[in-house]
Amino acid sequence: MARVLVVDDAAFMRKVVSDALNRGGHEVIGEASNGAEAVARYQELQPELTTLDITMPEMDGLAALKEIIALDPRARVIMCSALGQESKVLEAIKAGARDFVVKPFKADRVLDAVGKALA
Amino acid sequence: MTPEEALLRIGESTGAAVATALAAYCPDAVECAPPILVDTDTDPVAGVPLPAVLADVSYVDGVRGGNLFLMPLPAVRALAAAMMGADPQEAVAAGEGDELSELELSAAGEVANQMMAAAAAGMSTVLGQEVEIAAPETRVIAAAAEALAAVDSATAVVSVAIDVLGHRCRLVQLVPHAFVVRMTRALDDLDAEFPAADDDVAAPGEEREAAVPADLLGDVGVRISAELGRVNMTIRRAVGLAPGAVVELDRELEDPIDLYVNGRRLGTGRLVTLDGDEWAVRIDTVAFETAPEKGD
Repeated sequence: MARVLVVDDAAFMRKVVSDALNRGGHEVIGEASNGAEAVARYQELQPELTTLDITMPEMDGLAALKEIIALDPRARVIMCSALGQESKVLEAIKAGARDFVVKPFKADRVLDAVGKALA
Repeated sequence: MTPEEALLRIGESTGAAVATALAAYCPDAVECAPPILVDTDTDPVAGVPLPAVLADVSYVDGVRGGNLFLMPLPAVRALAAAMMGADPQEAVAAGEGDELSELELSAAGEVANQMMAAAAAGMSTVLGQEVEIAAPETRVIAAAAEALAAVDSATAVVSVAIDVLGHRCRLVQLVPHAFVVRMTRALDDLDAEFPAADDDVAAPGEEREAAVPADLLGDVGVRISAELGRVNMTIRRAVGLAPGAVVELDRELEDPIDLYVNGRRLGTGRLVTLDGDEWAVRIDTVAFETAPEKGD
């Protein structure tokens, strides 16, 4: 069971991801709606795991991932991307993301990725 | 190809990508009409009751242009319910007359983001360069003019009617003329390289081209292959196989077989025969993998 930071610019997706995590027994300790906020919240909350959307205003998920990994090379980050963003996903994995889930996703897929990232 | 034809192709394939993304949430409840070119005499938002939610997703980096997805309020409510796994009809009935919640508006932006990401991926392939999308901007509009404030004489407009859960929605694309020119050239090149396939039944063991009408990749040729089964053996045994040897596969006669598109699993199907003398596959399930299948 992990303390998780959920990052997505859509409040709707933050709710969907948080609900899935809560059902899986994880604790959502914070949310952020853009990359810059994600980096700030990461430093402040030190989550065990972060879910990161890719397309966001201000700073996108990929840039936020790189900053988070620079701050904490052992950060566990799972990317959430829409179908068709495979090249971004690849770049994210190279930059240190542990896994990715493609939207639309089922709750089980999120929990699966979280379980693997924590293992 | 004329610029008009290219515009219609852009509209058609983007509409198909959008419909496919929507169908993930409400299968069997999405219908996409052919695109129309909008001139001064046509109403680009015809049939959509106002006020409506306008989700605006722009292309950035690769190309320029805007994509507007217009959904009447009940459509947003129904879609948000479907995305949460709730009953869309009940949600619409229960919310009758209420304003949309922040969460419902956010769901509209999210679904616009997902569908335009799929459309952008198709565009990237046709143009041979990355096309990225900006985060969606979502607002409620009361008049069509508000949706089209950004249109000027250097922009062509394509409109596609898409019915979602029984509600008429519209995808309105604002395409700069410079982009139409590039797209026309890119589509001409593609057509020369991959003439459209004429039929979409693939026989097992035979690899051939078929059309995937999912997005701008629509006319790009792909290979569909059907896999009957697998087996692991030592390399010693494999190189020792001689004519007449029997290799047992990991499936029963009644098991479904796997279908692959360019090495990615498309779903499962059943072997059938056509006219008693040709193999064919009837699709059972479709679950397109987003990462290439690794041999196991």
